[in-house]
Amino acid sequence: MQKPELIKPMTDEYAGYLFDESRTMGSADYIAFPTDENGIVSVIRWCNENDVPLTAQGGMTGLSGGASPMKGLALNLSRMNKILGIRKGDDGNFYLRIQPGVLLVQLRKALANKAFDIGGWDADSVETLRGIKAGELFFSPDPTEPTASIGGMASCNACGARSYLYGCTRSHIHALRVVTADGKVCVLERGKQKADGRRFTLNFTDGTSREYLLPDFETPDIKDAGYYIRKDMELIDLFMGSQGTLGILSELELKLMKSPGHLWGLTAFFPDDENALTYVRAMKGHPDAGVPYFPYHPASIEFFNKNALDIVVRQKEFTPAFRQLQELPDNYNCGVYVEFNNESKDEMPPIIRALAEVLPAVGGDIERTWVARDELELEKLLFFRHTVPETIDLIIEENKKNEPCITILSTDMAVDDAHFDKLFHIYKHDLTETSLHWIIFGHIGENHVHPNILARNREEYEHGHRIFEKWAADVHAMGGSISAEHGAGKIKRKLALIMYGGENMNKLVGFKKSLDPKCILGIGNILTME
Amino acid sequence: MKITVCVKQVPASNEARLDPVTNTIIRDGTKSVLNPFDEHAVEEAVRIRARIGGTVTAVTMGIPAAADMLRRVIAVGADRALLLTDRAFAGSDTLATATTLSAAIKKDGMPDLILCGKMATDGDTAQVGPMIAELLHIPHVCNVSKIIAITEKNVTVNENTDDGVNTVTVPLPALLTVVREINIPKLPSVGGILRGEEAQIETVTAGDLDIDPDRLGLKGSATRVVSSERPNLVHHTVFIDGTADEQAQKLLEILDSREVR
Repeated sequence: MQKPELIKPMTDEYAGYLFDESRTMGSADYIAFPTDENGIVSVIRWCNENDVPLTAQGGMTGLSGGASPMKGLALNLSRMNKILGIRKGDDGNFYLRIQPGVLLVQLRKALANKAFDIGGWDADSVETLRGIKAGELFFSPDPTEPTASIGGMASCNACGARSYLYGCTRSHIHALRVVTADGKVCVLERGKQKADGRRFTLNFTDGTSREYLLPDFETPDIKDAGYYIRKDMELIDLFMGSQGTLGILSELELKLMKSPGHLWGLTAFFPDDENALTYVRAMKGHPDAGVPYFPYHPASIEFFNKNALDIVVRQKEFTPAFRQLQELPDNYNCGVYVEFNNESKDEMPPIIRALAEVLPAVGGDIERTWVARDELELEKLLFFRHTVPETIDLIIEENKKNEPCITILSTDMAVDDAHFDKLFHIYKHDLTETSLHWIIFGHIGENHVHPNILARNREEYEHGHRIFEKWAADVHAMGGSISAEHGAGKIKRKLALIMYGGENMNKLVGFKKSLDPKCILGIGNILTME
Repeated sequence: MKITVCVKQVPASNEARLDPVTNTIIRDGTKSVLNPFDEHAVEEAVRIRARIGGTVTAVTMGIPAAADMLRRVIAVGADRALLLTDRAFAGSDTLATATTLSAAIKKDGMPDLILCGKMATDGDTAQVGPMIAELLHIPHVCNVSKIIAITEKNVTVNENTDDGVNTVTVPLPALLTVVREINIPKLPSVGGILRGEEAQIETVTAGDLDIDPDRLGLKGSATRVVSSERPNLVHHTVFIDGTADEQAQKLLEILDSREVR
């Protein structure tokens, strides 16, 4: 087979495609920017024939090195960024068909403003769109970085603050077209193709089919960004969370929700982490003794410890865009952001009154709060939330100038409600003992905060990795997941090994080889090969 | 110090959205908000009160539903709010609006300082603030980006102009219109929202004002809107190809042909 024209040599002009947001530096000999599925197929076939490893890339916003290529070819899907059509299902829901390179921000704008480029849409889609109002439909997954691609989000089964209420990306994807390592295409729709016990068949669009066998163990039950393996499972779920190691997504069909009528939220500040933990338990409907019961359901609950707030305050002096941030209260310590997605704004006043009772009871103060009463004001709180990872990026970029091996060191381990406080105290204990620069922030509602270690030199970077490995063992012992949303990628591959164990890791590798015998797809992601 | 802030409710967005299927303007989903410049005026009033004490009164002319916006203004720190609402005010242009507001402000007891946003984002005239000052016979400074000092007698401010920044001192009472850079408006607290909910919004009608009815509403307006049209926006994009040198040369020719250089 001749090398497709689409494949270009990796020259300096493409240097920006060698690393993702984690700053994991990769290397590649080739790069390709397909614009349609046929392009992906021709590139994969050539790679498979010539034993060239291939790494899929979306928005390059990942935090685990999943899109950083390990030799071979970078398959960049950013030019596959079209929204292809919409249909109304028999269940009354709307389903939107997109290419994998569509960005989250692009999708949100299209839905909010009914701003679709309908050139190329079929007549049914145009007719369906006619009856839809701007802002009526909603795609809930919200990883903090809005320039993430939907294909990338599906690939690592990304979560976000609102997955506390609505679930991770996986639950909002209805169908996929997947290109396998030999360049065949299969169409998988939720509810249609399931495994029979551990056996399953993939039917390809060329009329052929092939049988496979799932590994004989189940991946953790806690929300998990890695492989999803269950008996009798939906086959579509194999290709979400597996970070481009089993197949490449060429098209996705998203199940859209009806937009909540009124989005609002508040950030409350507390004198100590323990007050924040008590508040979070109350927000989740499990109040401590003496704390009033809070009968409402937040869409998200996010935490910022003092160090996280400190880095943003410091960065405000140097980054003009951050000057619009709200001023923190005097003597702040930590903060908790809680968001509510209600049907109408009339639901807000009773919730405010309930919060006014809970806050003093957990050691908070009704005056030390920022309330965003509508979506416009909410943008200010979400902007604040987003500045934390943005600031981490800026600090790591700076620290990397001194020591090139440094990457973002962020964990996204998760445990169940019963174990979270214990894990949080382990994090704090292990970090407080060191002289490392660390922060903790993130999705406390779902029991996965992000302790980050901002390494300043090689020694600190290696120390950070050792601490993460210790935590992976702790989390594994609690029955948790080592990566609840970012994917193990390359940075957390060792942690994946700790979580799955050597024996199960070998089973996963064997399973991957049944789909990808030459091991060309997503090399270096998740799996530890012998 | 007695501070009065003039506020207005405006549509949340002035961006036109076109429906891709019908090619008509999408009107649904546009909510009313506090005029963004007025947010800064309210914040500045609250900050002045925190520094030197006093009271902050918000005043608006609008439909009864504008009471919600006034509750939001109390939530971010105003002490009380006046809602001027009457059918007699309908159709007011900037002059009739300024006449009504100035009469209400005077009736409420002349404040030491009046703050307004630079302009409202739905009309973009920037006329009402200065007109109120003229009608009340007090000095005013527009486009204020910083309050440098304030005493019981006068206020010193930075005024943005086309050429730079003037530092101006005016005696009180005075009126200032403020620009966005003056401060970052704070979000309300839970406590503030409860205060807003519980507040009594004071309603003022035409009969409460000592003013000739012919100076109010459409009758009192000096301007008439004859018709409104959407501007025809035309974008011409020229793509220049070739090597870098060729592209630069072609760009220079284009700039020369338009006498830009």
